[in-house]
Amino acid sequence: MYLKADRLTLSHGEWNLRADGVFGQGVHLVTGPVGSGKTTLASALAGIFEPASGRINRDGILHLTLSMQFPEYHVTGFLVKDEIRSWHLPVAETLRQAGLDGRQNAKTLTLSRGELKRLHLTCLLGNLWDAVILDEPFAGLDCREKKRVCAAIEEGNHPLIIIFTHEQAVLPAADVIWEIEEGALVCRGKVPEAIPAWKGAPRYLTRATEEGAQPKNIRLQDATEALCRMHA
Amino acid sequence: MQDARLRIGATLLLSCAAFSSVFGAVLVALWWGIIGRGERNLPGRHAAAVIFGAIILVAGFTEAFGGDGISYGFRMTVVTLIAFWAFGHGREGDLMNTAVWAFGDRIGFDLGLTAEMAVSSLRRIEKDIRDIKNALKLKGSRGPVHDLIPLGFALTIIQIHRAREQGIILATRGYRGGGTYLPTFRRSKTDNVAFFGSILIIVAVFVSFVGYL
Repeated sequence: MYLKADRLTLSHGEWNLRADGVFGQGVHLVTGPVGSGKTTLASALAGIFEPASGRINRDGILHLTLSMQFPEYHVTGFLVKDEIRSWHLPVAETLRQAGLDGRQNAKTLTLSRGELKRLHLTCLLGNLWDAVILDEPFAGLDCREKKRVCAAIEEGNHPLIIIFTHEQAVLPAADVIWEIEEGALVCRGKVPEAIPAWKGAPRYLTRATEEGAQPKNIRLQDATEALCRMHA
Repeated sequence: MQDARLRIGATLLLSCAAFSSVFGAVLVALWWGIIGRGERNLPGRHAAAVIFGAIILVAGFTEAFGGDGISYGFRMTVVTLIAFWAFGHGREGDLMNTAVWAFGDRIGFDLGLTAEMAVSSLRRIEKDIRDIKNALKLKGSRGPVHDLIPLGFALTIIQIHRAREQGIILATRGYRGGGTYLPTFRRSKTDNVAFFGSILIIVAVFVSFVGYL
């Protein structure tokens, strides 16, 4: 099972992004500065942005979805309970998971951005997909909710997850690191070998590696454990 | 056409001329064909089908029920082509520049700011519609008619949220009405010719009316 960007070129006027690589099973983290083309690449991989050249190949992927940065775009249910049902999920259980107990009769689009994002991600990750593409899933969430999303990602219900983010504080365990650099998608490799080469790594990771620690993954707890091991 | 004042002026004159008579619409169509060449900014196939389809539909009904539908259809088509030409080549700040130049720092500033915010919203709505349609497709679209309800609802709420955020930002920055703004304009060699052409057309239409009377 894989999603392959085959000599892809994405264009917006004079702006271009090149992407060539294979996203196999596991959790892939794609980072890059704001405006580098993360959303465009996410849309192209999801098949909703037409590449200027090249193509996307899917192997073994029948059910693919994309979580857009703005959760409002996905809403089809007038009330929260209708929205949950539109994802074919049980209302009470989903409300509990999203931390929205008792809000089933609230109007979906009157929820705050953070609440709506929580609801949307709970519904999206509550379904079974072959491949999930998440565009800035942590935007608008507090630390507790970011950790909950990370836990849902790490549960492994979806064989292939690609996360596009510039989050620097709370990240899930990942298998492969990618970066967008100078108009091209670059694979830094598998975790943990990719960590030293990751230019956009969070500060806690670079600090740990600078001190000689070797984190096993990219989470804060991995950096802390690596430092503890070193000083033990 | 680079100069926003001339483009807005020409748009007003040409729209009036095109709508007032078939003769005016023919002249404006010629202007559009010659002077608007290379700046036509025609919409995509789907948008064109919807917009011109609506015009043809109304024209057809008018013609069928005894009105002059063919004339209406032709005149509205030309007005729409002029609107595409005018809207497509507008740059951010054009309306602000023109409003402040015409009406000053107080009323002009407020009018320009309102117009700029409206145009900016229109441009963002285009992207919102595209994104919402894509999101609905990914979620499992139940057909274009069924999707209209969530699309319209989400679009309305998003616009209300944005308007409130913009209002808060303006209030936070101390906006109470009016402001200081120095309008700037660029002008290309063909601007004067194009604008002069639109004056000639409106004069010709006026003379034709006088002759008719």
